[in-house]
Amino acid sequence: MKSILRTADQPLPSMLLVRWLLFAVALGALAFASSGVRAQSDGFDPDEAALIYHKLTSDPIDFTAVAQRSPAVQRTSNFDRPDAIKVETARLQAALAAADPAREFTIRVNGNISQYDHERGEFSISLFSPGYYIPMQAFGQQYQIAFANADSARPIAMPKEVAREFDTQLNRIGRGVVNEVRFRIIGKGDPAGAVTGARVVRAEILRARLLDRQGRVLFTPEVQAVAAAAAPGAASVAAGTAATPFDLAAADVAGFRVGVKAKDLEATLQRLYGSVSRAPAGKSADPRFGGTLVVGDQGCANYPGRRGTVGPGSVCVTALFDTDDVVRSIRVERVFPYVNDEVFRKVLVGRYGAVGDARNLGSSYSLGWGPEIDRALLYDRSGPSRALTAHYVDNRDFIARSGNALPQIRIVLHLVDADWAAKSQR
Amino acid sequence: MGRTRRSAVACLLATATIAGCDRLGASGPEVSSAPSRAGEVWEIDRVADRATAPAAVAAYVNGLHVMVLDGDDAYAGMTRLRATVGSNGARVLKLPGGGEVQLASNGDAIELRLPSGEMIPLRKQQRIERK
Repeated sequence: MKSILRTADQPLPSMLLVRWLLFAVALGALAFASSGVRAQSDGFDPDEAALIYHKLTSDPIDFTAVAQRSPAVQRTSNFDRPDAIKVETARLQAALAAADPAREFTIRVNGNISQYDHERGEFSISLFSPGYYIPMQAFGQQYQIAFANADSARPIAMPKEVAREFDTQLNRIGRGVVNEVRFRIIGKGDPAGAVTGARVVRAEILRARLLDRQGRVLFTPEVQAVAAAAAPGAASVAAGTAATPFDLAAADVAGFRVGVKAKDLEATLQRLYGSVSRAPAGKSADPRFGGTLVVGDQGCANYPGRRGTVGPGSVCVTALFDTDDVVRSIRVERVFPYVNDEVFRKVLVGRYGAVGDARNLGSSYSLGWGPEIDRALLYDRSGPSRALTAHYVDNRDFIARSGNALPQIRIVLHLVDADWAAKSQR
Repeated sequence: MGRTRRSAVACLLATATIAGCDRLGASGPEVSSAPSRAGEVWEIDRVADRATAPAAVAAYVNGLHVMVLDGDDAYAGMTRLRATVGSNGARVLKLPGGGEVQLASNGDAIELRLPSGEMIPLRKQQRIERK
C-alpha cells in the first residue's frame, strides 16, 4: 500500500512544510510495512489528532521530552533552553486541555482496489480491509489510525455485468485511487485486533468517497456508524471485524468458565480428557490461589529434545482455584497444524467481539478482552493485561525455527475472574 | 430472571445424574459439569489436516473440539447446550456467542457444520490413557 495524504479543505500552510517533509521521509520508510498506507495532508493536523487521542484515552505523553525535541527549544541557546522547555511544555499542556474530541478531520489517502471477488460479488477498498491503517507522525512518535467501522465501508458491491465496466475503468487508472475520509477520533485500539502496537488510534468514519487522481468521484461507500456496525448479527460481527461489546459475565474459553466449583471442573476434565492432576498452587503462584487442576502435566509448548511428543490435537488445561475451591483462572491450549493468524483473528473476534487490546510480538500474536487485570495473574505477561486473552503461538522450539517447515500453531485461551481479582487485590 | 429460574429448576432436576451446577447466568447458557458416565465423548480428528484446521480452530474456541453428547444435551466443556432438530433432520445447537452449529450423523462419524459453513468430522473418542 502506498498513498499520499494530501488536500483536504485548506491549502498547505508553509510553516508546516518542514514538518511534512520529515513526515514524508518517515512515511517512505513505512512503505515497506505491509499494511500501512502513506499519507500526507494539508487540512489534517497530526498534532491536533494526537492530542485528542491522548485526551480521550489518557494514554500518557511525556510533554517535557516532546518539548526538548521541538524546533522552538532546539533553536535556543543552552543558556535559555531550560526556560524554553518550560514554556513549550506549558503550551503543549494547554493544547491538550483545549483539544476537542468532537473535532472532525478530513484526510485523503492514496490506495487501491482489489480484484473483483466473484463469489461475494464485490471489490474491496484496501484501506478499509482488516489490518490496514493510516500512519501518523506527531510529537516525534508514530501513531496508527484504524477505523472501527471500516468493514461497512470496505465493499464495492455490484453485479458482474456492471463490475466488468468498473474493472475496466479501474485498470485504466492503474487501480490507484484516492480515499477521501471524514472521521473523528473515538478511542484507543483496533476493535478488529488486526492493527497492533503502541498508540493505535481508534477512529470512526463519518463519510467516505473514492476518487480518481483527478478528483472525480468513482464510488461513495455506505458507511455505518460504529454503534450500528457493532449490533448483534451485523455482517461485521461474522466477518471478525466487529466492534461488538464484550460480555465478561457470559464469557467462557472452550466452554470452560471461572466461578465454578473446582470439583465440578475436575469431573468434566476427567470425562473429556482423561486423568487430571490436582495439586497445591505452588510457591511461585499468586498467594490468592489455593490449588491447581492440570491436564497435560508437561504442557503443550515444544522445547528442544521434546519434539514429536506434542502435535496437532494435543490439549493442555491449567485451572487455578482459590482457597474456597472456586475456579478463578482457567487456561486451555490446543495445538493445530498451521493456520494463519487471520483465521485466528476472525474466529476470535467473531466469538468475543471488539478487541480491547492486541499485541504482535513476532512469534506470538495476542488479543485481549474485558477489564484490565493484575499482570501477576496473566499467562503471558507481555500480552494484553485483560481478563480474557487469546494467544496465537508458533509452537516450534528455537532449533526447529531455523528450518523451512510450516510451524504448528498453539492457540491458548485464558480467562481470569476479573471481579474476584479486583476484590481480592492485595 | 425467568431464564435464571428455569435454569435453576433444570439444574435441580438434573442433579441426580450430573455432578453439579454453578453460576447459572442470567443471560448465558447453562453451566454444568459433564455427566461422568452417561452419553459418549466425541472429538475432532487429531490428524494434521491443514484443510480442516480453520474449522478445528472455530470448534475449539467454542468448546466443540471435544464434547459429551447425551441425548438432546451436548456438553462443550462445562457449557450445556440443548439440541433441537433442524429442518434437514440434523441436531442444531445454539452457541453462546451467537450462531448455531449442526450435527449430522454420517456413518461412524458425526459431521459438525459451523456457522461459517465449514464442516469437520467428529469421531467417538478412544480413551487415551495419560501417564
